[in-house]
Amino acid sequence: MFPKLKYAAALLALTAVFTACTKKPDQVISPSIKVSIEKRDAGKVCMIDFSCALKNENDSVAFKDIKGEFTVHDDSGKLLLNVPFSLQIILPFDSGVIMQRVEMKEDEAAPLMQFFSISMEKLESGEDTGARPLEDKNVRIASLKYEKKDIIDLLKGK
Amino acid sequence: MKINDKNIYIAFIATPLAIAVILCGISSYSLFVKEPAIQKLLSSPETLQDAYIELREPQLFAGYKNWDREGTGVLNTMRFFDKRVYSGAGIKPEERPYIELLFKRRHSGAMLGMKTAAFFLILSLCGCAAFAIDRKRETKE
Repeated sequence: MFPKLKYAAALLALTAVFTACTKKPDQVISPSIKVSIEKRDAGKVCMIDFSCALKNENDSVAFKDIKGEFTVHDDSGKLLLNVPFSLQIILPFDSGVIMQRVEMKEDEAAPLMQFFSISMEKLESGEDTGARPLEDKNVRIASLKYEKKDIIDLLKGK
Repeated sequence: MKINDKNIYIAFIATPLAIAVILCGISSYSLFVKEPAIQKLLSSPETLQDAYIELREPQLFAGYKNWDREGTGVLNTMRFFDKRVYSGAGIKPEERPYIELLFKRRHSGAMLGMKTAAFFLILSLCGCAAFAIDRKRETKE
């Protein structure tokens, strides 16, 4: 009965077994920002240093040429910051550290500063370092593209 | 409906026997083909990197996905040497003991396969013995 259906189901099951083996780097580890002010001719510029890590939990797959974007949101989900990033490689069991600087005008950075309770005056006077850890709920991976490479193929080429 | 005892016995003998043959085949390939080749590579400082690449492919029963306490050393070794080999720095002769940790894990996996094969073989032999005793009793009756 339904021999074609049986073959299709078997093929689907096999595909699922083999494709389910790679775990995507979908967790942002220890995200944080550090805000600093720089005075330029055009006025004050907010320098936002975003840092976090992406972990590769696979045993045999390396992620290569990683490109993506993180977004930082407030508790209501309103977008505060876009952080495009790129990484050369994350080897198996390793973490790729992302440190990215984003420049924003004073008025553009105002909602972010307000949400993290950072004041320009305190930053300028040195009273506040401008460093804030981010909660997981406030950081999202908006896009993530990478090339999957088998670690043995990668190492054999060296 | 009468149950066909003979077919049950045959299934009980053949299934574990087939599993034992498969497990034994896989483990024997690792023990008698792969391991001597890797040991040869390990013996020379120039081929340590090749030995590591060979060992980076785990034995089927000693995968690198699940970690017990003893496996932590292997995990750290791989994390370290993946970076070293990828960056082109190679492996130093004094680092050989760490590569041997991977070799020991491969050997343990192969031995686990052999022991599991032996268990299934014993099951199959038990089936054979039970079948023989049953047949003997039937002929007497």
